[in-house]
Amino acid sequence: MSEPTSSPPAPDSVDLDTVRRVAGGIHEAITTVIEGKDDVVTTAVTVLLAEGHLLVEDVPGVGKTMLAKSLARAIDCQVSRVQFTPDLLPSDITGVSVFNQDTRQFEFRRGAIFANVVVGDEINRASPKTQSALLESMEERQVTVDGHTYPLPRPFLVMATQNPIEMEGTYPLPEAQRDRFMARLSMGYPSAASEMAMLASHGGVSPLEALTPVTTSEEVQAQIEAIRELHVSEALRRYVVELMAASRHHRMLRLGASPRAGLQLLRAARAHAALAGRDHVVPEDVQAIAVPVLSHRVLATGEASLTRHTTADIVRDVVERTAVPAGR
Amino acid sequence: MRLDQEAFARGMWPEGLVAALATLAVAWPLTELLRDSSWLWAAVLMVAVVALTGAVLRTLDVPPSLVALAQLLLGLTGLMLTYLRETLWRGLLPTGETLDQVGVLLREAGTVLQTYAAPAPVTEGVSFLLVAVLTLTAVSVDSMGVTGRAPAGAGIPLAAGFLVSVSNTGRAMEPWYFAAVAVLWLMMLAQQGHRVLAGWSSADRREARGDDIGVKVPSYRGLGQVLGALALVAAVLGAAALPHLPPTFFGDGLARNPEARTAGGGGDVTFTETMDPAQDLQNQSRTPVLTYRTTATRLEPLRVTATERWEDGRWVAPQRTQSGLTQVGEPIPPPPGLGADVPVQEQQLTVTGNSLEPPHLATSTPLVALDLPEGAAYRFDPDDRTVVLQTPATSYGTTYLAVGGSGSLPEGVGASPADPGQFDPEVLEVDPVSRAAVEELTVEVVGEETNTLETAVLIQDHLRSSAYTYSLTLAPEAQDDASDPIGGFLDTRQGYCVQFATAMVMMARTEGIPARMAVGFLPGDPQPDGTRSVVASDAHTWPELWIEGMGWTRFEPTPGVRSEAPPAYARAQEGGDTEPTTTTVTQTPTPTETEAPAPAPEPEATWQDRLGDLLPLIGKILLGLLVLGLLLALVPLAGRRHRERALTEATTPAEQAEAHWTWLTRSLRDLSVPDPPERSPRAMGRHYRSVTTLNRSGEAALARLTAVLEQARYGRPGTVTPGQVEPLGDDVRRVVEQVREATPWNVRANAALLPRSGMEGIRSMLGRRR
Repeated sequence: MSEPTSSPPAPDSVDLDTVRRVAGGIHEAITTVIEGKDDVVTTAVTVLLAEGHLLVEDVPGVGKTMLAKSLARAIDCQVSRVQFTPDLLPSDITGVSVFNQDTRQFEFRRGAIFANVVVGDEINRASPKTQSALLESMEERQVTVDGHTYPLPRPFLVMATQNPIEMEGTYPLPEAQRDRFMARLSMGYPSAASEMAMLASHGGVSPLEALTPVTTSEEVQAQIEAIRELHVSEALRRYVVELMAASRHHRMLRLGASPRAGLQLLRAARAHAALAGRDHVVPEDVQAIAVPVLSHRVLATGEASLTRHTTADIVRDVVERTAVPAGR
Repeated sequence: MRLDQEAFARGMWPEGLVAALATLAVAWPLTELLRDSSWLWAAVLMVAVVALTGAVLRTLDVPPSLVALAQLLLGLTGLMLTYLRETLWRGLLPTGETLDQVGVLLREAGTVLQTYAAPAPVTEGVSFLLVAVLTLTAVSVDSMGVTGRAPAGAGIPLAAGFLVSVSNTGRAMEPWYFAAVAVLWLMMLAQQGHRVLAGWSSADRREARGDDIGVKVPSYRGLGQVLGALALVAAVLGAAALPHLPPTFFGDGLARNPEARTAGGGGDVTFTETMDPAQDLQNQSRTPVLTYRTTATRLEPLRVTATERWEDGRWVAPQRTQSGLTQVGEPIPPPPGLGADVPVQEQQLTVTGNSLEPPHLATSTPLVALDLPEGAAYRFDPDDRTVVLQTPATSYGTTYLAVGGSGSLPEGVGASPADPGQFDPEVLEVDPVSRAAVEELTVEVVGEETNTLETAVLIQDHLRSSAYTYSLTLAPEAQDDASDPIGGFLDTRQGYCVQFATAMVMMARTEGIPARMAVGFLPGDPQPDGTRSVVASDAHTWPELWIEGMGWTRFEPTPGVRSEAPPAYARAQEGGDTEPTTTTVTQTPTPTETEAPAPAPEPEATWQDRLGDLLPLIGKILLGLLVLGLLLALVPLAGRRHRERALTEATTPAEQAEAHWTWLTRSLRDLSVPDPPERSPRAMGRHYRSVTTLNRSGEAALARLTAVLEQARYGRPGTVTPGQVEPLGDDVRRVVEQVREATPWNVRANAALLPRSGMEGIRSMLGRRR
């Protein structure tokens, strides 16, 4: 709070209307494909604008891939889709140097990751080596092959899906790697009404085919950069710190939230606040995205699993119990 | 049915009963200090009224402060109906007359308690005082221990009441008195402990453990600090407001040595060679030594014998020679030296039962005629004016002169010194061992006074003053030094009638006033049949001084413990008013006045003295009450200050927004609206919406408050504008007003009279000062 209180400097102000227009457009577009999943879509858009990566986890057939694809199509940008299989190689992701006979030089062939939106299907089916190649570049937003570093385009969003039920022949992501995803989503089954509507409309042309981009990658990148400047008061930062501490002391958690989790939570909260049209973050923003941002980063104790408490339940409990610090 | 049980539990009936019993247990030892227990029923009634009121009002969920107030009011009403019914307007409302009557009753009680030794007679005033004090005790015990759920604190009024009894018995009290109070008090504590335990959740351990976030532990430390501060204030105020009573009151005012009645020992009354009745004083026998009736309204001690001889630090019984006595049948010579113009009243004394052994015979003096039954004979020693009984007499009648009873003493009484040649030199002999000390003190006490009567009165009053303590046990220093009992007594200023009488005799002798020591009995206790009964422990000694114009005159230097008030002629006279005034009709209304006249008639002058003493006391009490009222009025004021304090300290709009929120939470807390958990502004707003009933404008006001608070806490600094903050004051008022309207009247009254914010404000003020 070092800045003067009278006139806030210009760079701090965020063009909230543009943010809302862009975000609203993407949201609306996805909704034409994914019906009745407003909160899921909102979280996905939030993660996009917070410059994070999304892990969608659910049983097959609820629309994980559909969500990923529709988000990708709503933005006019480079999209790549990778179907992870056990024989997928790291070079398939990052790219490979091949020898050009004509120029007699090695030439870099870009992998699937060189896109604005990367849709990774069934990420847990790939070998750990391949997984980590993806995850490293997710974190660093660049690829290094044969001593050459190639930056990834901006905005850069990885949407990975995985199926938590079919565990055979899969390589579940270790905690450290799950931590790279800003948020984890569960699709959940659609409501009866949505399902009826889906059955009625999907008979003819696929809505995904009909989806046209509503914004450009440059515009999204501009919004991402604007949202980074959103105001976060000291009280709110203290709140985030206390949430993290509470998760570390919760008796049903073996592993609490990492400092990176706090950073990601605050980034996501900024995006959430911007989507709500506010130029500052309030505790409700943090609370709204706490479950998707935190629940895949913490580890429940055996007792919690025995009593059928999911990590999402426990994160909800942490949020409920933690006092919001008063004052500025 | 369930509801009824809840209401019953809220009323705390068993706790109220125990508190009432504890109050009565405090009253129990008082019965030892008073002659009868007629007051006890009124006290029981009042305590019952207070306890019942408390229980009923608690059952009705009336706030604690109002419960105490109602108890006080009902208790006072009961008191007025019992004692002041005639003065009430339409038999209900107090009038100015009521207040006057209270003053009269209290003064009367004060007089009785200062004059009488235990057991004191129960006059209307004493009864009123006791019942009033017990009512107040009951109210404070009930409101602290039961309504206030702090039985430990109730120990203070209980102990205070108990101390009155303890300090006035002058001996170790029987253990059961203490045990009763202690057991009942411990029962109160146990009930409280049980209630606390019953309030503990029996819920799942997991829940109990998880609740630690967000649940605030009540601050007992803070409460303790406030209690300590209040105790200090009360102690200071109490010390200032308490009148300075002579030690006769607190030390042994009511303590006419019940030890004499209960301690070991026994046997007949003896006047041994030492002339020291200490043995008799310790005698517990209730067997009457004498039973008698008298025509006198003002009782005088019954004299048996007198002696002039002080040898080796003790009095020696007179050696009677047959030649000095009158012959059997010879009339009793008139008292020598009694001037014809001294007002006297002839009084009859009829002894119906006498167990004194010959040659002793007890009568008031100066004796003018003795009527013995057939066959009994006596002789008379004119020297010390002692009847020497020749044969036992179980009953007899005497006629004596009550001196100075109904008129003023003539001028010139005691003006001229006695002619030493007229007397046996022994009557002027001072113990050489203590002569220096006695002379020094006498000069200091008497000063330039030459009139022997005035001199005697000065000496007597000096010995009766609060500098001296009546005690059957001499101070250890005085006991150690047996060679100089008089000097020892004058140093330690502690003793019983013998020491006081001896000191007066010796002091008078250094002034050249012939003096001797008389031995006899106090007038004894009135009996239901109208007679008076003298027991062994009524034994008494007093000095007789030769006053020119009055002859041998009785004085009473022993403080009003085991003695009577001094004779009328021996009272200090105010200024120019030399009139001892008319015979006073007894001011203490006793139901059996004709049979048992009050033994301590008070002349006007003393009455006025006492009134003068009491007025400042009443003033102090009123002042104390005023201060207490002011202190109570401070609580709402402190509450208002506490609620709005942040507003005055806030400078920026954001701080003002926070201050408005603080104001809102503290005001709602006063109205028993639970505090929101420490959550975001929106969540706190939701909390208030869920626990209160607001209409649309109230909800809008609350929404504005939370919105601005949120902006202030989380928005960019400086974005809260004064325009946003300005309407918040009205918003707070609107929300509080709407909540207040929907609140039960008892909660509203509590918020107005004893708001929580007031206590918090006082606590924080005290905390800051430190």
